[in-house]
Amino acid sequence: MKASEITRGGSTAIEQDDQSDLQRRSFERLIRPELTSAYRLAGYLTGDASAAEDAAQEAVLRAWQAFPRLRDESQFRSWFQRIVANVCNDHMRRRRVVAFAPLTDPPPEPADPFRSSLDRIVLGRALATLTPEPRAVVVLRYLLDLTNEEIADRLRIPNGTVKSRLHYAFVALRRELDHSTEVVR
Amino acid sequence: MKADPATSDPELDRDLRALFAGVAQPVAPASLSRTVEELPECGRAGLGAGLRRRAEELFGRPARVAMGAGAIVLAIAVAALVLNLRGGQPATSGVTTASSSPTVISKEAAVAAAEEFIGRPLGAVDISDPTAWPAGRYVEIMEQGGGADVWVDAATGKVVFMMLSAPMTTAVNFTPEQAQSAAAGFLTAHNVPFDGLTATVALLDHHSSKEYTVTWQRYANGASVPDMREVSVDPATGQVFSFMDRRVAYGPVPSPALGRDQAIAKAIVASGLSAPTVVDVQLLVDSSPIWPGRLVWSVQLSQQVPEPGSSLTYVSAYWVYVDAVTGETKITGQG
Repeated sequence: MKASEITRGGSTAIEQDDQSDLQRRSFERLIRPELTSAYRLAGYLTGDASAAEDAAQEAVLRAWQAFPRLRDESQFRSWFQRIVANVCNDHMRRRRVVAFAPLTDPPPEPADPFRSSLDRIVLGRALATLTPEPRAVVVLRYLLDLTNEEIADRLRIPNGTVKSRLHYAFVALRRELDHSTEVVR
Repeated sequence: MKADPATSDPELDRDLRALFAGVAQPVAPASLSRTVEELPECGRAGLGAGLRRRAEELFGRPARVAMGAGAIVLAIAVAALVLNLRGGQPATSGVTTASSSPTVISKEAAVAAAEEFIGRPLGAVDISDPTAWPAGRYVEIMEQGGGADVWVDAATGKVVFMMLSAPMTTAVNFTPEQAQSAAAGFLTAHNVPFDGLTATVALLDHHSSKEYTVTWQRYANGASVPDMREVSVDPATGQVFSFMDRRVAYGPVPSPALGRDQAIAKAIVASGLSAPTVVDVQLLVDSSPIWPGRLVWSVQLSQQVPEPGSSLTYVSAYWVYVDAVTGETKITGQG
């Protein structure tokens, strides 16, 4: 903010300039260490590097806009993870692409690090067949190593829903893996 | 009791752990760093954020946790009890809004008050936890998506702060007089009195947007007292997008024993800064929890200081209270 054209009660364009700089610096300090983690989370949630980049960028901007409402900076990481998960959820809801990747398909373009990594492994490809909701629970649990309670916090869903989605994911993954084994035989 | 689903298939659990440990872990693309470097002016530095920060200075900082009306009642009752134990309010002066009455409104009533004030129904909202509010007196209703942020006095049901979507252009199609007229019309329409208060109008430039701020402030014995209305008007459209109403009881205002220059000198000593710039000095009756009811000189100082491990410098700012009667000093903020 630069100097006001009419000063408010004798205050304080300089104050506002200083605060702007401090706030921006504070946000940068907090967000930079989280960028790679956010990108990975978005990558495994969306299953697509391009969508992950878009989602992570949007999450950064949303976080910046919402930064004034963050009360406790020590909670920045979990708060930002929540935003990333929320943005990815929005992306997937818009696309509603349930990444049906038949296990017999050829591997996709190697340029996409998330797809190529997962598709080299049968379990990874099975994971890609999950619908977004159970996949999110699995990714948060195994990529970020979060507890059920933490997953519930990031996705803003009840703890019981986390458990049921995880249960569903396990059943679906086991089914895909068993099917894959049969195909190989 | 059901087994933890994650361990009901230990083989799969192990394989999933191995999967994420074993797959390539890409690093963030450069575009993400650029996004951080080119952040628009919309974070804490932005217009809406600035308004909110100012409201927090006046009313305290709420938490944002949805909770039921019963919890609100309990929290307010506890807050009222604490106030009573501490000896209650400062001396009265006939100016009151934030009542210490144990009467509290329900969550639904707070939402209804907010809707009536902004003149439309709210969408999904988050509601604050009043236990986290220093005075325990307000309920914050924030519309999800940021369309409206309204703070309601939990005892009186009156709206004390409102912020709608802030302007996004730098166009100025209205004069300061027109802005003041629009702001006055807004107060009148909402039955908010401002007789006897001194009005000032400022056009603030936030780079990507501009804002008229119309402030009505009461003064007593040369000091600003906690009796203020502030309305923000979009210079492009003439629409009111923000409102604050701060009225707190205060006692008779004494004459200051310390002059402005004496107060600055004391503030500089208290800050420890060697050659500060005096940014702002105000004589006011404090209504914050710091020195409530006391007549103080509020002095803001700043100085460029070297950043550790860098050739850069940053601005070190101090906010100092100097008691205008006793000369006692207190650092109230540093950044």
